[in-house]
Amino acid sequence: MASRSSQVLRSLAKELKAIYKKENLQEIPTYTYLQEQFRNFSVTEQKVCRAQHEVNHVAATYLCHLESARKLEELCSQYRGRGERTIESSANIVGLKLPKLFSEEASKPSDQ
Amino acid sequence: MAASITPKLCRLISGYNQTLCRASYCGRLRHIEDSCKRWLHNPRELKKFYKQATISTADGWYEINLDKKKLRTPHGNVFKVPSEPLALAVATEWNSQEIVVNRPNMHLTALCNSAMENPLQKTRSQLTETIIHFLETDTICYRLTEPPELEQLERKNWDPIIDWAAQRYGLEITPTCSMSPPIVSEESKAILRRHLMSYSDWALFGYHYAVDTLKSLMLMMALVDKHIDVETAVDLARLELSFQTEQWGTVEWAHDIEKYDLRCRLSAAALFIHWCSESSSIKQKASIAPI
Repeated sequence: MASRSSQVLRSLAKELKAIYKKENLQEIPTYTYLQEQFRNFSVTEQKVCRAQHEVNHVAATYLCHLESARKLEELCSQYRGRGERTIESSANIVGLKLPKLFSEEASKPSDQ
Repeated sequence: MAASITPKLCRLISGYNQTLCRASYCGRLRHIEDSCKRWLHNPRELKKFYKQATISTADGWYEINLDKKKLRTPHGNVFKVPSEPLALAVATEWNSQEIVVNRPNMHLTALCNSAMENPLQKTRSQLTETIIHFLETDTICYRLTEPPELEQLERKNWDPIIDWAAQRYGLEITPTCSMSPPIVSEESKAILRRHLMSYSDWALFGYHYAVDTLKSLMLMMALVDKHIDVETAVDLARLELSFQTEQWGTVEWAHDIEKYDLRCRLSAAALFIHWCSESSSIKQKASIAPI
């Protein structure tokens, strides 16, 4: 049980660190609040405690929130449309090449 | 692309402005400049205009400060929330924005805004009725019989939730395999009405949002009661989809995006409900020896 909650806290720290890149972990108010909550609700004896379950559940939910928001952002930026393709790249997709355009120098020795 | 064009274009146009001082030219060029700016700048994008979001407390409510300015709601009122963790989470949400403020993905802020301003002018009873209405179209009550594996999977995964709802709240609901809606007894509706009425106004907004996203009231009740976690709730709500994708393969830009979006929304709503309905107090144990 204890290992599970510390694992969640560690993952939360990782996610928060990704958001607050410059700050020290102990300077992030959200993290200090989380830590305090975990400390307040930790049970010292082996007892089934509803509050313990509650704080773990909320922490896991928040972790899920941060994690999925980050992954969603990553996926969206990966697949975001970058405007229209050029004619050449669209032709390349289907394995075609554009015909060579007419230019003065290239047309001097005519092949045909 | 657009960002690199604008300054160049503006410089060019303002250069013309300086050399050709004729009024008609200036007027026309300014007009072109304005229309170019409008065309190149996406009005829906909001650049990140602050460095850091912090929270402060006033009259028992918590406010968000973006640098030194107060965050405001779309209607211009001061943004304030009733609980500290919620304010911290909203501040984190604002801090997690990088170059552009991606407002459509800030679910906690959006939930707080709609709870604060109530844009659709819904009353408590209207909200509860809309939520209860979802029970008749609850995802986990509509069963498919066609591939037998899917039927088995649905029975294995969804039945425990229905059993839980029956045991915990006394809801009587029979799943359906046809087009006709499942049968819900009036008693169950009355139980639900009483249960939902016990939540605060704010929590009800969260509930409504969550049920609307998840398309299942019973899964949401199990989540709020901390019987299941967010991942399980989302997996159960997308059971048929995951069955099909297991067979036919997933498409990352559709299925995965949808899954994470759903998780993100649902966890935001679950947190919102929790933080808006909890009230905690610290009781110190009496020490044996006098200090």
